[in-house]
Amino acid sequence: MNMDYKYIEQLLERYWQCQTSLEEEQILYLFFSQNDVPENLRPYQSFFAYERSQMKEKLGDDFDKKVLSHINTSVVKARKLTFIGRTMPMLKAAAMVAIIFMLGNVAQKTFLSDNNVLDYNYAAYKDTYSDPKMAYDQISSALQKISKGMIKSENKKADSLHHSKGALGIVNHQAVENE
Amino acid sequence: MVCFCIISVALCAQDFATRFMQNHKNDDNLKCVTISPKMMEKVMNVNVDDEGMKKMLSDIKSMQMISSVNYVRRYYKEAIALAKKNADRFSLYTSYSKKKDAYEIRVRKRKNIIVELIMVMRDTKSFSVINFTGKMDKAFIDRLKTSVNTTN
Repeated sequence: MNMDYKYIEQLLERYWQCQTSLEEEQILYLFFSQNDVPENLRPYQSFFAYERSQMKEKLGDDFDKKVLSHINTSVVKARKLTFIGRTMPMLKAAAMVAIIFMLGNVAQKTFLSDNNVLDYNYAAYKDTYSDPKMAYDQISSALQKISKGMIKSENKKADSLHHSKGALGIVNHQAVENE
Repeated sequence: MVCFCIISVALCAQDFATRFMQNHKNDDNLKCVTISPKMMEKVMNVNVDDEGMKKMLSDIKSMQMISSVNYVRRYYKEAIALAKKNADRFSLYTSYSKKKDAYEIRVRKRKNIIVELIMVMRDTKSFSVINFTGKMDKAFIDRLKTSVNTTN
């Protein structure tokens, strides 16, 4: 009997180290299921009784349903985006830019109304002369230069017109002679 | 948005001479004479006998004149290029070109009124840009086309 216990103790030792085979585990379950268990091994009896009872436990018929109900979450469906839907952010941005430009244009037109056609930044002008007479001389000199330029240009136009008229006259005269 | 509007307005507020001088900052070869609207008001008080001249002065709001005796051809080319670049703003009024001298007169109009009159010119010795701003009408130009009497 002592020898058997020795064997059981060895099996137990191997059981804790997870080295027992299924057959050896069955021997242990059978041993601990009997009423006559030695005193030193009795603490393990309840453990093996519990283990054995758990083996009889089986999944119920509703197990699958329960599990499936837990994992059966709502499915995210892919939405179909149309061309307009895809380009909408860009269209919105373009519209914003267009609005800004339009407002800028309106602001410009407002600031530069009929009464304010001169849109120059005169505040930045720094006078060269403090004497108005000197300024007048400078202005009149500049006006003279422009005037000379315009007169020169007008004369040149008149000359070229005169030359072209003369050339046209010669051509007409030759045409009459040929007839 | 307000800033954008202000900037868009401010960007327009530059006459030709200012634009040209901006491209030639710290250039000692160029001399720029400026007569501001405030000085123009004082000039109006100068004793001028010619009524026609007085009328012309009243049409002018400011004047800037850039001149140089160095790099004459280079400056002339650059000024003409700048004017052509802004051709939609400064339309060509008349031009003249010979070997010794050349010039271009350009105008900026707003509702049939010339608000800016530019003359870019060169001869053998000097380059100059004359830039008037104001409200210059047909009578102003007609008077320029005849002759300007500067006696006072």
